[in-house]
Amino acid sequence: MIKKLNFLAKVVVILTVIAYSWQRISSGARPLGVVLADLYRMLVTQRHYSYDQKMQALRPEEYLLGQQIIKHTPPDAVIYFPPPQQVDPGLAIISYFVYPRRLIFLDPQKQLSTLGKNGELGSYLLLYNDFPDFPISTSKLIVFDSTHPQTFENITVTLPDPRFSGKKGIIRL
Amino acid sequence: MIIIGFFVTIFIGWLFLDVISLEAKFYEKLGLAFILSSGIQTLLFFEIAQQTNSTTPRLYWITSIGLLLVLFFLKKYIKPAVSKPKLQPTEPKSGLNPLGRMALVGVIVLFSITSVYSLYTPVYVTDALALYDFRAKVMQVKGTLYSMHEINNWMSYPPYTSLAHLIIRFLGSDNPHPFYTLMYLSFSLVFYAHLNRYTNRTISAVGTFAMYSSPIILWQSRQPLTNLPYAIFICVSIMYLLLAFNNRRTHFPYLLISSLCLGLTSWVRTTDPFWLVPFFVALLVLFVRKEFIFLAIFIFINISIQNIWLEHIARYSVIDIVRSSQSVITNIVSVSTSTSAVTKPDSLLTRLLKPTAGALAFFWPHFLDSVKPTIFVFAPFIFLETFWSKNRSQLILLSMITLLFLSLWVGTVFASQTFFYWKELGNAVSRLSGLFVPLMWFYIFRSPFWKQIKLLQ
Repeated sequence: MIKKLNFLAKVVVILTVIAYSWQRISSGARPLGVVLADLYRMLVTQRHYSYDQKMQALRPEEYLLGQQIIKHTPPDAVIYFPPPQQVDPGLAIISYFVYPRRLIFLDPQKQLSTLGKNGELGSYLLLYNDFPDFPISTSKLIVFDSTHPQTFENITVTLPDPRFSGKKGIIRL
Repeated sequence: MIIIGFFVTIFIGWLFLDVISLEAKFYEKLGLAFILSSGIQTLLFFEIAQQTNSTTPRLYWITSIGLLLVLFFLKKYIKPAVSKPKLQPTEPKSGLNPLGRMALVGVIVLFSITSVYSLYTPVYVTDALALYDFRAKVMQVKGTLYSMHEINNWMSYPPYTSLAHLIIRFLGSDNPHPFYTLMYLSFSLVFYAHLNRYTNRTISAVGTFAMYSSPIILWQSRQPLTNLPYAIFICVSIMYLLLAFNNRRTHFPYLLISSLCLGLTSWVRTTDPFWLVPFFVALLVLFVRKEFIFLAIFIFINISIQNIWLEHIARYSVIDIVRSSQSVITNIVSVSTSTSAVTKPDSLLTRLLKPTAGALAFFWPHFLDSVKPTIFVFAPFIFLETFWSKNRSQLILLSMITLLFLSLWVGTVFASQTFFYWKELGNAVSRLSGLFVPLMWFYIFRSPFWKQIKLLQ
């Protein structure tokens, strides 16, 4: 047998439920528009988008950089990346896109003799904005560009250099 | 292939529930079958892959078909030896009124919308790309289990999610999102069935809709993260534990499901302390009831599942563990050096209170962010249930929710003393707090209060 609840307690609970429903409806009204637009996009306008197109929309920076790395390095490449403190933390996910290429994030000393997890040495170095911030001689440097990548051979890179500053590329060691 | 894999998963879970003689409604068994089967399959696959160092589709099929055959055999020959538990007394059958029907339609609509998101979106969340799905990708490319050790921090989380992703890859898809959406739907079936044991169908439907539409969990149901499976396993474990202890004598099948789900929480996330709450509550009740065999089984299942991953990392991550412990030691050392300048040491009470208060001040906004507005409905029900209904089962549930909250608090205090970057964990705390939402809704809608509302009859 259920005990009868007093009137005041009933009012309190019902008011709480009304307040909850109101909060949910008012906070849900705006996202509803977004959801409807998303559904229209996913089911109609962008229905046939490929994985590439979707990833370019979702993680543009990391995905495009990963694609450029894949294009210009062999699958067994080991690539030195700037110390984590110098880059966006999200950059680590490039490992996922470029696998089986391996990335080694340098420590703050930036020694190019740093070994990877399995004792491997890096064969490439990432040019990333103003990194490497130490002079380095290379037989080949490719500056990424979606249409016309620039290739430099047998040069010494010393940043800042107007040709490379703020750009991304790959340096063969 | 993916459809076949789905049915194999359901069938394995269903047979398992038949073997343990679970008496439940069709939809409850369906939901539970999917939830449990995902855990059982990944555990067994991992155990066999550890011996063979192979992660190939062939191994998956051999494991699944072998498991099906074993369960089929057990069902056929062992079942008569196990006594059938009596079904819990349920509410007298009542129809679903228009409000209840609307609530169920609401769940179906939300599930459909989430499914569109899940099917369309590839994996893009940082944690999944950095670890969960990355491990699956590496294991698929290399075809070996130990290749996952190539990834930095591979041991930070058990491989439940990665193995689920790997199996999905074996079945021909590289999009694991629908798995999480189905997990959530399965959980809502179990949630509905449980509410229906305590109240009528309309109230159960409304409660299920309230739970299903909670923003934090709904969002997690289309993200390949560990939070949703973890929340589901711990909530299912608690719900079956309450059911197991509902009568004077403990119901073994319910206790078995509870212990299995509790063990599986450590198969999803090892470091979180929440499992301790239902674990000790179960031990206490079983001890008081002098059901020592059940107590031993409960402990055995939990510890066995936990040990699978702990033994693996103990065996294969010596170097990584040393590295991580070194960094922890460095942090601790640096903390102690900075405090050494203080001439007069603080009293023990101050030393305890400072981090405790600091941790609360830090995690409370993140916690609130996750559980609001559910907590605003939950709060009056705490008083209502404690002083009006005085239901023992509700009291146990409330105690467990409170202890879970305290675990989160203590965990944050521990993190604040161990990791220098602990203040960056706000988002993680917020996501983790999602596990409180289904429990709060369960507590709210089990209340007899709703039976006084004519609209819900």
